[in-house]
Amino acid sequence: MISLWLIIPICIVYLALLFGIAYYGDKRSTKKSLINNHFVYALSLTTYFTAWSFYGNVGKVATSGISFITTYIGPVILAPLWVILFKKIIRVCKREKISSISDFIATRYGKDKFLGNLITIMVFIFIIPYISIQLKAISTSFHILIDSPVQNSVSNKIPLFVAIIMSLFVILFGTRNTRSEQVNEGMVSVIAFEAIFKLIAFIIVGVYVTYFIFNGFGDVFSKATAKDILGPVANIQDSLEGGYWDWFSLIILSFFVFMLLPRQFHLIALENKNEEHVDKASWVFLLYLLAMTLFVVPIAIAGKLYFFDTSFSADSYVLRFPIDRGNNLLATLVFLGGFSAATGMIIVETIAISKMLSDNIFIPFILNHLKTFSTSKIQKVISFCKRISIPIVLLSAYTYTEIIGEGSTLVETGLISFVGIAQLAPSFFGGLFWKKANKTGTISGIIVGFFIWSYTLLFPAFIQSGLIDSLSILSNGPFSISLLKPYALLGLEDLNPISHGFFWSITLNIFFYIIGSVFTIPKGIEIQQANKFIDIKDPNEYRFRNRYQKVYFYQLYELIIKFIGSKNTNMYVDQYDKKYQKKYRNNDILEIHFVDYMENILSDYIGNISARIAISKLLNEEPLSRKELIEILEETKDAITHSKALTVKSDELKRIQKTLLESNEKLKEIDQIKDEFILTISHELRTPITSIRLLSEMLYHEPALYEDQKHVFLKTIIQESERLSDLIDDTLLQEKLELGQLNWEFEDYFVHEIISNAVNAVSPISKDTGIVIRNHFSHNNTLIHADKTHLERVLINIFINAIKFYDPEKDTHKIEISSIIDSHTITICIEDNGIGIAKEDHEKIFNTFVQIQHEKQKNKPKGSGLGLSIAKKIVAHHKGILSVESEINVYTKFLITLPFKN
Amino acid sequence: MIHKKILIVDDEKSIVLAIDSILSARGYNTQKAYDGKKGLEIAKEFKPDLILLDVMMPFIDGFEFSSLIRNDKALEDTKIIFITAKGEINDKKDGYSKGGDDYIVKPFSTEKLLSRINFLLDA
Repeated sequence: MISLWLIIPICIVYLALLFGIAYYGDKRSTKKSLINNHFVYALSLTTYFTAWSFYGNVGKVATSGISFITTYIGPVILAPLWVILFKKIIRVCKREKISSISDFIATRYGKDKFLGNLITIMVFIFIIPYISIQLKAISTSFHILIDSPVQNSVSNKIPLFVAIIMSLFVILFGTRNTRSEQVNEGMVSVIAFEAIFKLIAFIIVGVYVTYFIFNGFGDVFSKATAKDILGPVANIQDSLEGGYWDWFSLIILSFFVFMLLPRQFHLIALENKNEEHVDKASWVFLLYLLAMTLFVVPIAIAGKLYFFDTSFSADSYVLRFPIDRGNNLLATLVFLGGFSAATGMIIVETIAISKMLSDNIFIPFILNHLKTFSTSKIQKVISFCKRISIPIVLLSAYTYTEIIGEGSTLVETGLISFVGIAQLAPSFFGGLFWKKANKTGTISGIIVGFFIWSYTLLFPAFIQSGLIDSLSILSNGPFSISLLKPYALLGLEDLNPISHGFFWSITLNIFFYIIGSVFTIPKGIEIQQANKFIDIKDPNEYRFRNRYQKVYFYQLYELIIKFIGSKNTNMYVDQYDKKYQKKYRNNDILEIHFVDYMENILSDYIGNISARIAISKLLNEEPLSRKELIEILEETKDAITHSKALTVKSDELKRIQKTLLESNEKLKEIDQIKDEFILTISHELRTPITSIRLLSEMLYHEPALYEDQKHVFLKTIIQESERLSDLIDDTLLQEKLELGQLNWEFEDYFVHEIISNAVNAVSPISKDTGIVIRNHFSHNNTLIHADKTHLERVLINIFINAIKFYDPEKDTHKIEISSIIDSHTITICIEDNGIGIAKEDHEKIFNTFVQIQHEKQKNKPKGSGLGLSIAKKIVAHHKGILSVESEINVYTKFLITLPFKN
Repeated sequence: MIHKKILIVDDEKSIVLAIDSILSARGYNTQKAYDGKKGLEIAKEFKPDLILLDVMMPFIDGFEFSSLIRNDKALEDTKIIFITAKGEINDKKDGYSKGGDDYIVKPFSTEKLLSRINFLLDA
């Protein structure tokens, strides 16, 4: 027995030590962190071993054999999966700024407030009894230590004192960091210290019992065999009522809760400093687990042997041994070991639960009633909420201890909490791996699970603790319906209450979770969150893709600029180059790393899902589900509309561009014609100018020329001058005709009048050259609608040509005019017996600036080369046709066919 | 002084008249042709020291004419000046490559014509 007045100062010193470690740990966090290693990470996870493990495991072995081990097999099975699961969870939490397990699930299913509240309240209900048994364990062990009846007024208040001091501790070291993703280093340091302390205490007492009270393991077991108490302990089938099925369900249960207990989740995901720690931590944890359970069975058996004639609770064997042997130092050490196990759990669990309460319930409530507070006070109010929720949690646990505490053993209360927490398993694990899982499924599953848990476990616990006086319901079922007996639903009688409650609650939970998810359509945000949680990855790690096709840079580039514009795209491509020293260009085949990089960037602009879908399409990945398509429609409606508008615009621009290109081509063509025309004109002008110049210079510089020579020169100059003016006239005429600017004065004329006018005009020239014009035109009263001047010009032009191209080798030179008439048209025929035009030139003569050369036609003055081209256009303007028939050296016949008026 | 022989080949009658008058007055012995075919005939007989040759002519154009002259050993020393209405560089180069010694672009002055002729014949 130890004096109360000795043990209280020892406790105070121990607590002061914890505060000191925490303070030191927080101070060190800014320099060289105490906790930044996998060892501390693993140790922090051993808060899984609570006072329940410290005292209760031995008790469990003593009463129910080695079934206690089921609680640890689950985590052992989980250990190989740490790397996959924990890292994924850590990344999600960091990215999504998760603050607790309830926040995790609520965020996963569309950041739903109702779901957050529901889980917070449920977890509060599950965990308060669990915290309360830790307080109870401290109080019980304290009483054993001082060997006093429970009536002592001071010791009676021990749980309250512990609750108050722990509140203070958590307020000081558990809420120091306002940003949720920052680690409470001082607190984690304390947890690691307590983990080591409780292990050492347990091993020392184990060694003490096994080797000092007994003579080693062999001695313990041989004595137990002799007394026939080993059998029930070692028999697996008999250790639990439900045999193998109970074993199985308890293993699954512990597998679930190792991650889902709020404190475990908190330490695994939120207090992790570096995800690399996960890699080695599982080994440290497994070794710890081995050390922690090694002496459980020997102590239990030894206790059964040693205390066989006492009424001590088996839960207290660990502490009873040193006390009974009068080893006060060891007794104190064991007490502090159990105290460590309890406080470690209390601290972290309180942080986790109080955070849930403040973040999900108190702070949202305040935000909804903002008007009540002045803005300057809000920050204070919020931090007050965070702090006040801590004593609320601990005092609730204390109150629970006071009211119900005596009803059940440590282990049983713990397991009831476990089954409650396990209700989060479907939505938690499903949420990490099953994209279709949605909010409706989660809420219905959790509510059903919670209801079954309450009915099969909580309700009977209340009955057994005497709070509800209806034992008949337990034995006969409500209203005597035996199928509804809380411990044997639907006649399932063979299981122990924990396995039974777990089986029904988790089965129906999963059932409703799946049904709800499959048969309801989620909102966009639920799908978006699902993708964020399931596709989460290390930013430095390649994303897993189910199929990967070669993608060229330009393909991705074109896709990205559609959404974020070329300026931004180029910026990110450059940033990638700077960061990874890899510059992609047009036809480079992309590495998946770059594709992921761009997808992340795209996510910022159009959301995770749309980006994912856009990229998947490019990579030709798995076809999209209908839901995903709905989602992209919702998410990228704006983007699509925008891009569509752009496409329309760009089509329009393309059309305009095409038109412009076409007209540009036309202009170029016209320009080229113009250039050629000018070139030809200038060429045609140069020759007469040259002659005129040279001859004038002769006349000017050589006064001694003969008269007849002078005469020839002057005559040539006059001819060339005429040629020049003809050329200019014809050019202008041609230009006007082409541009449609020629003035036309159409009136009705008799054809024969126009012909005789033209003949009269050229007769002086024809007479000079000895060419006879014979007019046989016979349709004298034929009227045509014509521009007299222009039509006469055509005729004169033809006559002049005939005169110019007479054949000097023939004796007579003549031009004969005749006519042909049909129902609508009259044809004027002008035939000469000149040098003729070669057949291949018949079409050419009507082209601009063409002058056909003829051997016999050397000394003739040249024309402009425009005459016939102009003539043809004028005739065409009269709705007529100008054509030619000719045989070289025989004749040339021009035919002008015109419509006449009746 | 020996009268240098010059052949004028151009289908432009007025040009031939003018150049012929100028050169005859300067004491050159000239012959005229109004097309390339006739010009070649005369050149073989006349063996001119210089030919003034229009580029744009019927039947045989100036370039063809000059290359035919260059193939005639008897006319090895005959100089050729092209008379052209086009002033483009391409045409100039063309002129040289086809065996011309010089070119003169219309319209030109009497002085220019004479100085080109003198330059080639005195050299």
